Amino acid sequence: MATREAGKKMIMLKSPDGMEFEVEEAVAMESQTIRKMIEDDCADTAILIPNINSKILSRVIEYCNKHVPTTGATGAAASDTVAPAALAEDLKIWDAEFIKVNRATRFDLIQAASYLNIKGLLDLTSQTTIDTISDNSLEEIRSFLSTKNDYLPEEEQTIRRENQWAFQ
Amino acid sequence: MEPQPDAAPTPVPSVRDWSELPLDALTSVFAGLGAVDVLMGAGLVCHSWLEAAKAPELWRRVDMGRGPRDKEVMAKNRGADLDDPNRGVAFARPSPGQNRLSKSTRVMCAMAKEAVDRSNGKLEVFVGANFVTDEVLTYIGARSPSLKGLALLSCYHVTSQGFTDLVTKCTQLEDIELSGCVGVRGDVMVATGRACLRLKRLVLDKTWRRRWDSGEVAGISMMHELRHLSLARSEITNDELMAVVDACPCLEYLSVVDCYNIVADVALRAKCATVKTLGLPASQDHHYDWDEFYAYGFGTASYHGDIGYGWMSDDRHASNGPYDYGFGTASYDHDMDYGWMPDD
Repeated sequence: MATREAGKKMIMLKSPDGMEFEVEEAVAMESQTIRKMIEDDCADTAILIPNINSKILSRVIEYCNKHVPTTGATGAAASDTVAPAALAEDLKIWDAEFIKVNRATRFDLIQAASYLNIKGLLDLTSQTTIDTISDNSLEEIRSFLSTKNDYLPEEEQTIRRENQWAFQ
Repeated sequence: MEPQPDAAPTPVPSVRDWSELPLDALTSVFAGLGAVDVLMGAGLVCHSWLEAAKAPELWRRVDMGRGPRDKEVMAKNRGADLDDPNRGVAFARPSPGQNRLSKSTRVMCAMAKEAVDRSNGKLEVFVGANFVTDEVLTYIGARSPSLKGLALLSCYHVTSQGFTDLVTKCTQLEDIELSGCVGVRGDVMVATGRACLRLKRLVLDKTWRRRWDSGEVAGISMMHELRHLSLARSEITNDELMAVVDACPCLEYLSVVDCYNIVADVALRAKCATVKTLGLPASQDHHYDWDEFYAYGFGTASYHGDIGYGWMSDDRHASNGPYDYGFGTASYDHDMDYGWMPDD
């Protein structure tokens, strides 16, 4: 594991498409999955993050960089002096910008947040999905998300019988 | 700066199969949706979503009748509820029976029962606005031994019978809010006080002109663990209120706004000295304005629906969390809407 700057331990994250990202350990440990690997000493060299391509992984790192406690995105440990409310407001605005992505990217971010176990990112991506599908009918949700109705005809009948309220 | 996602720099397929969303993400999505949204839409999308929507932990807290989708369902086929006081006809209650209910009410009740079934006996909080019937309360009572919080808002179908059925079964109740439920008489508080020994928060807002029932005072006086008591627009008198304060030594919050029999005199204030947050009627010679009272009363359904949704919308996202004593900040906002501000 390489070290850069005094007191800041760096670790290497690798995406399956061959990209490497050097990040502060504290930033990487925003992911509970990576935290566990580090704590279990399974992270001697680079950590391979399967199933998350470099494009998504770099965005996840961007998110963790912003959200790691006491260190802002600029790397300065300035947030100690900033009022918590102002900081929270700043993060909220940043999050809103961050999540302005197309649906495919959002899906990949949700998957990544789930696999890496980053609660804040999972909440953020879920909330956007909630906003997308709430108040929409079953068919609207299916068409929004390009999800197929995968019920067999007899299953469909059972579902219609058991959930009559949705099919009136 | 990363390339814009829409620019698609790498040839990845732009369409994702959302039925493959990880289970924890789906659970998080469903937890943020209202019960009706899940039951009518998202929870039926495909196999995996249907399975995820059945997880009992999603149904520990059920809040129905206040979301936009809920209102849309209830607005359909509206007008057939013969006991709806907002219809503007005589307020005589018809004999009980499902045929008295509109289709939309029956649909909401069917969904409420499904929600209770999905909680698999783990229902902790039930909030129902407008549609709830005695049958639903009896259904909850028979299946929800862990129920800790109950809020019924403008549920004019509910009678003393249904309410009593529930409280006698759900003895873990710590929090009850009854607002504008005109069919529930004050004497149900005796059954409540007897059955629910852990009750910590009680909010009663009658929003209707009815005689103060001495059973209500007797019942509240049995609730020795009560921390929070709010009696808006009740006919309770100073003597009765002082008896309640004596019987409930743990009271931290007491509000009797718009209780026209209450005179905020020295004796009452002295009696309430240990109550941290006290809301008494504004002036000692407060004259009750019946026009104003009726203006509140008749708007009850939509009035409560609107403010109710306002304070719950934040809550809904935390619906999976452990039961929070009191419906969050609910009561405070709720009370403030009637023009009363907490002291601290």
